Amino acid sequence: MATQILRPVFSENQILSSSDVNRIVNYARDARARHNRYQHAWGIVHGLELTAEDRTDDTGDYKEVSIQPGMLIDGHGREVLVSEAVRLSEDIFDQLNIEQSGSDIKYPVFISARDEEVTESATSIAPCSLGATSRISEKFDITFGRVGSELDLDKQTTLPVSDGVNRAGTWLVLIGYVGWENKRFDNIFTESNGIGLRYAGVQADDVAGVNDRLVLRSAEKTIEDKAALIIDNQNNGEMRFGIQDNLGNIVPVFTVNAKGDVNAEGKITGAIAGGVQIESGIISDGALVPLPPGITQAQLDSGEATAHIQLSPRFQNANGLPTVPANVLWQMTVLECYAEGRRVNCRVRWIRTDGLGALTLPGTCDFQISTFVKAEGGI
Amino acid sequence: MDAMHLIHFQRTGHVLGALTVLTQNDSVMIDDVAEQGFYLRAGPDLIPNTRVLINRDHLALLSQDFRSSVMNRPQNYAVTDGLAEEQDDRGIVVVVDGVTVDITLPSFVSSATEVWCLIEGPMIEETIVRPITVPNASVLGSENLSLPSGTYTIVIFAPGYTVQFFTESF
Repeated sequence: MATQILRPVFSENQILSSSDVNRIVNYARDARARHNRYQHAWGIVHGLELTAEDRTDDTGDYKEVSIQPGMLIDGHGREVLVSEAVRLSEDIFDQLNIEQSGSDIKYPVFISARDEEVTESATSIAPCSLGATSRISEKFDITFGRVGSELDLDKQTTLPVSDGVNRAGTWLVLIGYVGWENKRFDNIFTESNGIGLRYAGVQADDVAGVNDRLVLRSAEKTIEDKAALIIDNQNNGEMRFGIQDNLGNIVPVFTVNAKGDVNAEGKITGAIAGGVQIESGIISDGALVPLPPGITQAQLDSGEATAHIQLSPRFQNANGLPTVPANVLWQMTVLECYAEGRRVNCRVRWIRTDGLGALTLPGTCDFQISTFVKAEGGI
Repeated sequence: MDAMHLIHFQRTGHVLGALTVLTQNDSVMIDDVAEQGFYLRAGPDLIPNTRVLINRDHLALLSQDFRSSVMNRPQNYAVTDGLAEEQDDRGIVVVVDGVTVDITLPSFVSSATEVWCLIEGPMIEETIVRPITVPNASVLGSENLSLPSGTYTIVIFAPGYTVQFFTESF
């Protein structure tokens, strides 16, 4: 049977029970939890950085590690607020018995939401209800995981869509890593095994601007030198990418307008259909001529791109060859110089001008490779 | 032209080839220039024109400042501590008889030294690449190596000496 969401309604002269009032609270909490779960992606919303202070005591140097104030949304849609800095407990770490031998080991640090019932004096007309729970404190737990346990974060149990706040289950959110040495923390990290901190996101199919523009920023508007993207209707429609200044204005380095005109202030690399890309240099016998940036051997093999290689033998000086008398020279003759696919074949023969010796050696060439990528649909 | 790239035998640093690239000189990788291995010319005075394929797995790329001497004759050099250094070109003696491989260096080594040996021939399916240890204060290294009768091309990568080529028949 499908779960029904019940919204409380009230009528004149109705006597309100505690369950009626709780339902008001729970209805709002559950709706917000579902919003957090499905219109956002779980993660850190603000703050919660790990910080480390250098400390020294009888046992030596160590780090005092704290979590800074901040907020997160967990995978059940619960909001966790850390209102003031909290020091990480070495005792809790030690009791978990997760230490393993080795150096530079990173142990994940997690936060999870926890509800705690609190008995506070509440107005009551019934003497026998004194001492009953009247508040729920929305607390959090800080715990540590075994090395590699951060890889299981996405395997946590999600809730059915009809569920509101999961008041009992826990959901771990990674806030960093610590190093552990001699029963003390000795370092902090933000990444291990390619797993870094996860920040809250937005899940949406359609995002619309409200003032004729839409801006995506990689950092807050007031932090300069951060990448940002803007779509607006300037010049009849433009998309501009660049770095924001200290006022949040985007200084564009790449612009494309609604007519498809592209303006890039930097280099454009990669396979450009219909274009010719060229690379050149010097190369010795036996190596493969390197392809221009963005062109791959697979493109050549499939016929998507073609390459034209030109090799010119490089007439060198005779440094490194056996010493000859003052009036005798080494004279270079090219035996072969060609490309076999992209492979350079260059062999040269050095002959003494007095005819008393000769050497055959690998040669060196100047190369130029031109690649042409076919435009889609052919040209 | 600021930088050059040296394709070298990873175990010993012997340089096999060199190149410069004009437009993307700072992003050349070994797969760009030796994805299918490196053809090293071998044989007495390169005649007959024998080539030995050095597998990609044995190769590495090092970038350093351009030096025309290294560009012109890369195989006279080996990479040591990140720099190409010219190697001793005195002759190494190699004897392969189908039972053992004996390598005699021109000078005594001051510590046990691994000389890498690459053997290729029509009688074996896969190129043999293996180290032969020359003990401390010795010139001779010897290892058992069973090979069927035939003609083999042998490439020797001895630390301190230029890469050298031999053809042995037994």
